[in-house]
Amino acid sequence: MTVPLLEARRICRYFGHVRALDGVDFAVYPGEICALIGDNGAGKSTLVKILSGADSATSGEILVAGEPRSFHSPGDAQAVGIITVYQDLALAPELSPADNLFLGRELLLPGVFGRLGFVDRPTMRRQSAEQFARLGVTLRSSRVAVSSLSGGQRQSVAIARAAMWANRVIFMDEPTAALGVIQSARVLDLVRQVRDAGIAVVIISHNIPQVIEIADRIAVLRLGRNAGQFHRADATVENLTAAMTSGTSGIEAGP
Amino acid sequence: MSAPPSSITRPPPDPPELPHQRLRQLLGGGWIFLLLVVLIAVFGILRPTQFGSAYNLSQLTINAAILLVLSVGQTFVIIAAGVDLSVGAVLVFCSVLSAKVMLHLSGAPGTSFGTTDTSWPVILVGSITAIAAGTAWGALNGVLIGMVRIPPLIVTLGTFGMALGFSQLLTNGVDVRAMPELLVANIGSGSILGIPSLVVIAALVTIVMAIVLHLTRFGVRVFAIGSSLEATRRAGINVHAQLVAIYAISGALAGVAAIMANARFATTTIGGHSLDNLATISAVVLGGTSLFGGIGSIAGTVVGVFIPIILLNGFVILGIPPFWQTVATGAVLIVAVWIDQMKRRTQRG
Amino acid sequence: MKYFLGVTTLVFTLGIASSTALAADNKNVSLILGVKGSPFYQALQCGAQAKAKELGLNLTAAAPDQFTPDSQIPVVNAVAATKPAVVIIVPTDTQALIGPMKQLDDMGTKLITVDQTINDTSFIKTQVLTDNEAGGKLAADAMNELVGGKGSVIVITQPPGSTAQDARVAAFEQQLKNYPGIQYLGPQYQNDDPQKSAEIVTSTLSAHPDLAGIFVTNDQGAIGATTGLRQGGMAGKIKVVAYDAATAEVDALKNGTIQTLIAQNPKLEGEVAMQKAAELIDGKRLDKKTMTEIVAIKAGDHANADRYEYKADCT
Repeated sequence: MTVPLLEARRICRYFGHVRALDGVDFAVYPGEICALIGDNGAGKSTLVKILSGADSATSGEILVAGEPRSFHSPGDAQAVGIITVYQDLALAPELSPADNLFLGRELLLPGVFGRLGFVDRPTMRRQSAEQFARLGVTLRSSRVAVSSLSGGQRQSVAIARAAMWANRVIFMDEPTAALGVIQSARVLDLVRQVRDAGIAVVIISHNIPQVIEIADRIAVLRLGRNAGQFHRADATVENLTAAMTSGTSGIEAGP
Repeated sequence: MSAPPSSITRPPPDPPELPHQRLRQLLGGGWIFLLLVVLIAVFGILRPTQFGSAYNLSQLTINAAILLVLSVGQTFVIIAAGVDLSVGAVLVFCSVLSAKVMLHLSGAPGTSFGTTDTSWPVILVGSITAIAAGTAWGALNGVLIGMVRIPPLIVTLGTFGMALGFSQLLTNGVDVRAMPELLVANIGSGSILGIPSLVVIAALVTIVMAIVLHLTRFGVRVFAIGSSLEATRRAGINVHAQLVAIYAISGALAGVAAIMANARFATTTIGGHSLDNLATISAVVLGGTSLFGGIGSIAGTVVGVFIPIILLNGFVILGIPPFWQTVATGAVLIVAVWIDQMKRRTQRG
Repeated sequence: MKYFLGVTTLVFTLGIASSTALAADNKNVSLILGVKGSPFYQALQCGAQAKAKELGLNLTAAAPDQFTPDSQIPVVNAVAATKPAVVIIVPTDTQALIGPMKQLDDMGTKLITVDQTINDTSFIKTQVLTDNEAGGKLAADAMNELVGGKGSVIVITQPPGSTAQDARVAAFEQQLKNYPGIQYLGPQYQNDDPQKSAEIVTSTLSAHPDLAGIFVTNDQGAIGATTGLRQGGMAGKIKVVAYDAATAEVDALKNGTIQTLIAQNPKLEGEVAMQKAAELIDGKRLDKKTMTEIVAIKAGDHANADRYEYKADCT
């Protein structure tokens, strides 16, 4: 049986009396797109925050490639190749796509200039062009500010950035929530490219039809607990909705 | 894995960037630079021997020198979506402190007039004092803004008052009127290779800071912080330290400007410089830097500094009544920024 | 763009190539005031302009935004570029203006100072001044009379560096020593800011309830001081001797807030300066100092108050 890239066991997160997560299991396997769905208040965001280091669990275990780990900051999770693309994208609007891709990890010129802090813009531009090409992302222009790109292209830049620096799992929080039909389709294409490049993707989404279209495996949460797991083949709008709202266990399955 | 639906069209790749587009980008859309050329041409045609004389042109650059050094610092701050209202007062404080230190080291009594006979090492100590003091005030601004999270407008207004107050305490409100002769003669009125020393200093500062802003990692992060503080923080950059450094730069440059002012006027000017902060902000904004942060250039600031100076100079030479000068300068500022904004909006859309 | 620059360069070169020497029949006089918007300087300008017209001279006036050297020096530089025959200037700083004014002298322009002066007068053709020492003495005498020889007295003035005000204060303090019943609390500084003046008065009132008199050494300070007194409800009870006769001060004299005005005659100073400029252009040598009148106007003397009022509209 394949070892999960990232696994959560019996995760509990209590905020005072509120049990946001109450013994949740979750696993991400290599080469898959996993969707995490659930109604409002189900605990999806909380789980993702814990698994990406932005929050700590009250109890439970996290395992990375089978080894127990604890994350005290997003930096700890990023260090093992786990990156989250939040809904607000966290892009700098006035900077170019290349600058955004390398934000915080700017390439320096070789030699003494590099030690003085001079950035290597040609190389950054080249490498970001390669990254976009690898993922099949075509931008209107790579020299303009990111704010002048469309919503879908901005999302693509954010995902491309995550894909550049993650090598294990990328979490995406509602990646197509603000996008139109064509743009959503392009973003989902990009998500497939990312998976094919060897990074597992976990998508939080409210959009059931999209989820069925893109995800290999769908995990359902309800009121802080596991409420079922489905393969794409067995998932339908009806049984997913049912699992979200009334907690039928659905079909248990391995990878 | 599914193939992309054929209904998705792919946009064409980038056309290669033309040289004049890059130049335009660097000069804040090019419009402001054109305005500067037009002003010079108009005044030059109306009064060629007076406006265009070597004397007048060199005076213009000397008058611009101190304001330019201050405005370069303000450019960094405004690109980072901040503002530094304390610049004039920090200049006054640094000039007073430096003057007192040099006077003390020269052995002359505290109430001397005219110039003192001290050596370059003393002047060096005075200069280091000025820059160190300016850096300290700037760092204070940066700490209060970055770490304690008080808005820049409030913090720098507060340090403005404190710096000015300390200057008055240090001197009892009486200007220090004894400067080293070497400083006044060689830096204040001297030249290096035919170019006034003050202009050389301002040019060096401008070029070095332009390199830092546009070519280094530090500079990229200045733009990033101004564009989105949150995104920069999430990218793992220490925004607190970065902000302290940015405001410290503004303060340090105010210290440099203080040395230049001492050299130029041969006296501290405690009563002056109160509107320097507004002058630097309007120069920076005129040059195409956005008050909201994330966009800007040092080249634009250079143009922005010269426009009001040339306006004043041209109006006085033309003999336009003083009050009309004020009206006209204000109007030019508004029109210039308005047209610049319109250009930006059409570019964006 | 290239064409444009080409034309500009051509015009420039032609312009510079043409004669740059000071024309022998140059009748241009420039007046550089201390600051915009001051009734004293506006009255001065009025006098100068009237006289210039009479004498057939070309007068242009310029003024900086603030009474500070860093505001005035760019204006001086620009005036220098116009190569006038004579410059009449109110220097805003005794030291900082020496350099720029020397440059004017080097370029062949003759210099007259008015109202204020600088530390190095070797190249100044004449200084038009009022007798500030006499003014300070007059003020002290008037103060003594008004407070009946006893009580505390303060001076509100500009920070040291303005020769005229420094001289007034020094003479006032010196003369005050002749009146042992009066306790002198020292000078307070405001930078031509009525707001600051008002604050000084209210704070002093709180600290010294026995404050009997205030001597204010210029018009802006006087306006502020009277505001402060009215705020503290002490208008009329504390005696005020004020320099200058701006309209606001004359009104205050008439309604009893100020008791004595030491008035200069800026219109006359402007006329005299212009006259001296004409004499310079004619090649005459001038005395180092040219004094103009100064009078003390007491409360109730409305005729003189009106006569000496600094009118900014040249009436």
